[in-house]
Amino acid sequence: MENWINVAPILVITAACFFMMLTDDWKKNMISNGIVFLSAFLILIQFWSFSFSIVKLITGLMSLAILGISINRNDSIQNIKSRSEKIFRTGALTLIYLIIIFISTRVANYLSIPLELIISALFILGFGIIQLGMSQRLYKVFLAILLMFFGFELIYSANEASLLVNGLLALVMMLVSLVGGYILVSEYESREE
Amino acid sequence: MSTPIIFIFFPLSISILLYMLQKKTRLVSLIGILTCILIALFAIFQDFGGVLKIGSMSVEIKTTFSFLGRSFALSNEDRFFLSFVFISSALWFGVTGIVGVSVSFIPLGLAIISIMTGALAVEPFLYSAILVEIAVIVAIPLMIQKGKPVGKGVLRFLIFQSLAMPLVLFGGWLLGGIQASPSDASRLLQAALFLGIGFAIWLAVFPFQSWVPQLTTEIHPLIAGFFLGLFPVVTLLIMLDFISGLVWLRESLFIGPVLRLVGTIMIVSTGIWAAFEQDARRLFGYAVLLESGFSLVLVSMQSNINVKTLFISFVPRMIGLAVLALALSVIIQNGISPTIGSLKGMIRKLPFASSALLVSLLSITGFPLLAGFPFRLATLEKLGQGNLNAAMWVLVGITAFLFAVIRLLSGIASPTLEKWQAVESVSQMIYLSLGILALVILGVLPNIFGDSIAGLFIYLPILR
Repeated sequence: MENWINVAPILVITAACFFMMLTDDWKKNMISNGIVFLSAFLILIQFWSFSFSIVKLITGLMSLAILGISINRNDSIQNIKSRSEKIFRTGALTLIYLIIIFISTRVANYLSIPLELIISALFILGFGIIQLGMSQRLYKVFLAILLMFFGFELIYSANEASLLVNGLLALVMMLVSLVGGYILVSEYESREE
Repeated sequence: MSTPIIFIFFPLSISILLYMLQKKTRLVSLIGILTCILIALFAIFQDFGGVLKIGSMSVEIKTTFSFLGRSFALSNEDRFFLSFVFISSALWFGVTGIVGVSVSFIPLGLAIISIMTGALAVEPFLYSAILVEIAVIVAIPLMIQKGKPVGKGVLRFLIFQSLAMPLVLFGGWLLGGIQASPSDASRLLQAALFLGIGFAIWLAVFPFQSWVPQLTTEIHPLIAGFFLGLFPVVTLLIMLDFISGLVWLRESLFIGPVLRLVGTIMIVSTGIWAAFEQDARRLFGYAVLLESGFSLVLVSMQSNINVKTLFISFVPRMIGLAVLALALSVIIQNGISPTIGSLKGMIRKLPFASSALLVSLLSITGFPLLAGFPFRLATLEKLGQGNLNAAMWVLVGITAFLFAVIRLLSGIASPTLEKWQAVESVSQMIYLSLGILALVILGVLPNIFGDSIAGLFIYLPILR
């Protein structure tokens, strides 16, 4: 690791991911997502230009805002998770994170990317994928897609400085959240009918 | 003037305009269809890179266009695809009115076509992954029906396509890094693996195919037909461009057998699943998968004649899927669930839709004297010459699919006490009859166009 202080944002990302894994409250999920974006930004800014890093952060936060507006009006139902479900979810994520920790040095060397960036990106990516497979709530599926893209972008952007590619990736994130919002509103409307 | 402006940015701006004019239904339909026809005619008759003469004016048609440091290129190689896509879109847009599809289908459909064309044109090819993802996202609002909850198929479709984008981008990026030292075999393999999985997800190759029959059950058949008729073709062409562009890949010993194996598995598994299927909408999804399987088998043989066969086979594929989608739309519009149980004796009530449903499915299976037959025969013949086992398995897949169609036929044609009465509207009857006629004519006279479109096949991708 180039700077040991980066352990702090990585720990924050880990804690936020575990928290999101266990809670169904949309507000807490949104805040945790925002914290993940912010922590990843703190790492990214050390290795990438300020303007590109801030674009990633703003795109992520705006996507959250768009999704949040759609959920805000409608979501009131909360699933109460059983203890065994919580243990299972925590165990699954722990397992994924352990595997990531074991392979991260090799991946960092292979891709020539700083270790802290790889760990944070893989943590976010891994959480996104596991969330995609486990979530039944619609908004969580979209949050998971956003996180998966964000995690991937952290790795990809470290090597790809093209303006068009980064612009298009930002556009994809925004469009995912827009479509997510559209689907969420449509879902709630159909439920009301 | 450049071809990317004409085929990407022009229809895209028209689609934005049409989206704002949605209340004027007829005008939107008219402009959408005319735009597609004009662009298709331009693709058929205009030499890309040549000069367009309008009276005393002459305009040079360039083949590339630079945008934010990357270029979009559409050359003579893409003329067949462009004419095919825009003609078929005109046909899809033409039937929207008669089966009650929302008019927003036209602007969004035009936008999807433009973005897909952009995906095919962008260089280097790996950026096409992002454009394909954007096209997928634009398609989602089309797939949601007002007042109905979002189905699992739509969500799965979005999730699978979202998983494919990072894989293709990452694989492409790995590959870009290797170009300097192509001798690094392990990295080449890793890049090929990432790209292979990405393409497999795009093409809904086994075991990533579960979303296709789910999607066709949940959304309007016409929208399913439009998207599933276009999307696999574009992703297949991107894959062909990719294989064609990398000498080491097209010369490698594994690419042919791997594609053949994947294609064969796809055909066999699709056939077997279809044989047990009760719902004609799901059969529609399996028909799309069967077509993709045959396309992969054709690509696996890596010869110019097979690539040409593949390109020409897009025509009966599109007509078959369009007729199938139209028939299903008419059946659903009449309040009938298209399951074998509900379709009993339906030939008496909806004779045109029932016939069109059966003829299109038989054509997709490769039944003699129908449009799909010459291509299935050619594929089996070529495959049998190279690998008899694979040909036998493909035959098993086709037989199983044919069994599914015969089950449907026995249901539709089963005797009931109802009297013969066609409840389809006149326009529906005309469109369905034209579709059946087209499938029969293309089956009886497969070379009907002769050399008139031969010019479009001069610059096909080279696979060996």
